[in-house]
Amino acid sequence: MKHIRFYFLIVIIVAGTYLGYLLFIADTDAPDLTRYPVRQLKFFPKKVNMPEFNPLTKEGVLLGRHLFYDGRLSGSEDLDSLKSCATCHIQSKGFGSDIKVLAGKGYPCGFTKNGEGIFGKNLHVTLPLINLLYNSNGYFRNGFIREQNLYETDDLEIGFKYLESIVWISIVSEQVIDSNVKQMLEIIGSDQVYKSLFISAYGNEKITLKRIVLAISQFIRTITASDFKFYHFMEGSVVLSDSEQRGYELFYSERTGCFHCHAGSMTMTTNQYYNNGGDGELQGNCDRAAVTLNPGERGAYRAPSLINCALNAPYMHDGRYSTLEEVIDFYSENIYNSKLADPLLKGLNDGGIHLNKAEKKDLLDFLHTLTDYTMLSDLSYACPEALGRFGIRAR
Amino acid sequence: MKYVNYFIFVLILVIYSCYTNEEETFNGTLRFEIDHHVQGMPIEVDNMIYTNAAGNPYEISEIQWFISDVSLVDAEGQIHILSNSDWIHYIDTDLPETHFWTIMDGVRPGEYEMIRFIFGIKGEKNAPMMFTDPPESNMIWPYFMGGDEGGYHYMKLNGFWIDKESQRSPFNFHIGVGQMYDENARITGFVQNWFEVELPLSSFKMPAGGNVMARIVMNVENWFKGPNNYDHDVFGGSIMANQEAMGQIKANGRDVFSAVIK
Repeated sequence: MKHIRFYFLIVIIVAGTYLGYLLFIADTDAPDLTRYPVRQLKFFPKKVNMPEFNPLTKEGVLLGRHLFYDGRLSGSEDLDSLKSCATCHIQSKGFGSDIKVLAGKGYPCGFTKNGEGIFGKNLHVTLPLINLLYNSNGYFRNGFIREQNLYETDDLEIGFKYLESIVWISIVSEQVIDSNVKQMLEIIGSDQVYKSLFISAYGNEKITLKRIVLAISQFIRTITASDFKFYHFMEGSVVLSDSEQRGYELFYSERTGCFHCHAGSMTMTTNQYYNNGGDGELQGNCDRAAVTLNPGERGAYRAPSLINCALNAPYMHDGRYSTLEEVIDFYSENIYNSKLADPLLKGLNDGGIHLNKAEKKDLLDFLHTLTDYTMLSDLSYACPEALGRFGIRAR
Repeated sequence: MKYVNYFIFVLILVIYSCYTNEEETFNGTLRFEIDHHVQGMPIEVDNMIYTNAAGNPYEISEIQWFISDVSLVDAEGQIHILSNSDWIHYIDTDLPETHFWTIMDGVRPGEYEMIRFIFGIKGEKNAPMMFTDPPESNMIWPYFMGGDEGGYHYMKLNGFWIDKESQRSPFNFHIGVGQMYDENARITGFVQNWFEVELPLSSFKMPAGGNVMARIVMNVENWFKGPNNYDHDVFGGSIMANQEAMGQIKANGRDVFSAVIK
């Protein structure tokens, strides 16, 4: 009897999924939408962060790629005024960059009006846009953007819950793209290329800020980084050099404890929030505590993915370190033992883990095995030729 | 086309509803609830208010652990495995939703003498990288420290203690697969540290179609005593590479858990 029930359950799930698919297609004007397959990567999370209102379609992703790179998102065709997502999120740098911008005005933590970093730098460090699909524990350094977020604003229809929220804020925020939205919609709407792209993605050529946001978000969700040496080592298809192997064993050792925060799945982060002993006196007000209102989480920030970390200087939530060597030195000799420091930190009472010179090099060599060189020139992520002089290309 | 598909879907639902499962209707439901106590009281995190048997003042930051292979022993001594063979449940003091679960297939009516489970994960099930989604994936145990049967921590109990220098020091009371080392500190073999827990005073009667709640309590202070007075000053804060420390934890663990049947 249990088997019969099991098989019927399977039939119902399959039928329900098919029905949902048909209903989804029926609810759009574009009958030929093609599902964009979510990449199921070995050792990567199976759970993906993709809201039901914005499923991936090949047409939506293609439109989003154009918009991501289109400098006219600024609302101007003046070549000196072009600005788009790609201005700061540069493919050759793993869709990050060393560009620091002022925190966004008028929005809460993350892009916030009170958004100064620690030491009052008042900076927002560009975060790399990789593997965001696989993070279900909040975006930004403090996880402010999350589905449970109840913070509301009149000018953001979808609230502060999704990747879409970040794209939306980025387009309108004075400190990011600072778009003249009305002009931008007119410019995009007058471009014949976009007319066909919008028809393909949405069934008609109506161009709205919301549609632009949804399409860009779709494209960003497709950006994955998994083609790195350590990934293939874990698959068993390559071996590490002696130095990399020693670095790997250090990284995953009790002595350094790096893996407790920067491992789990092969996204090389737990996406959890930790106070890493960076500061004694906590001055920033955009830490995890600003989100949870738990004073015990003052000075805590999300452990970043270490994939492509060699490309993603500056480091730490406030960009205080310019090189990976400086980061290793910090954990080796310069951590600060505050009452709020996470217990997973090693060497808390000794200033750090005290690696010698050779060990630091081994660890650094291991960190370089986390660079995905393929994605840096993957044409499916690149600036479309059709954008011509308006496309923001790597400098 | 849309209506045809909808009709088929409804038809399947109607057919499915015609089947009844007499066995499951007859079975009872067993719900589990997990609590974490010190000295009989729910734990208070991030507060240096506890002292272990070795005299170390300590505070608890969080406890994350795995329970697996839950079974019942009936009056004849027969063992009834309740969970699927791949059932492993993660519990986290920071995630209240992990503190409850229900045995989905139901429990046969009858008298049961005892609840049993595995603390941690048996070696043959503890495959590296089998969890890719958090929070379970965050329990990863380094491959070179656990091999093919040591993929994940059994437990992370994190906190601080006041050490012999009177400093507040972090401890990572982590248990998983231990290692054997040669004189050159090379790993020569692994030691499985999971263990079976038999809960005393957990007998109950499951009536036909009834509901029983089993509250399992982790009495945290018992990790540090009986038979071994576990001393943080002796083992330090990090013990994943210290089988002697994990061996003491394993021995102490057998009376860490208790159960109350409601």
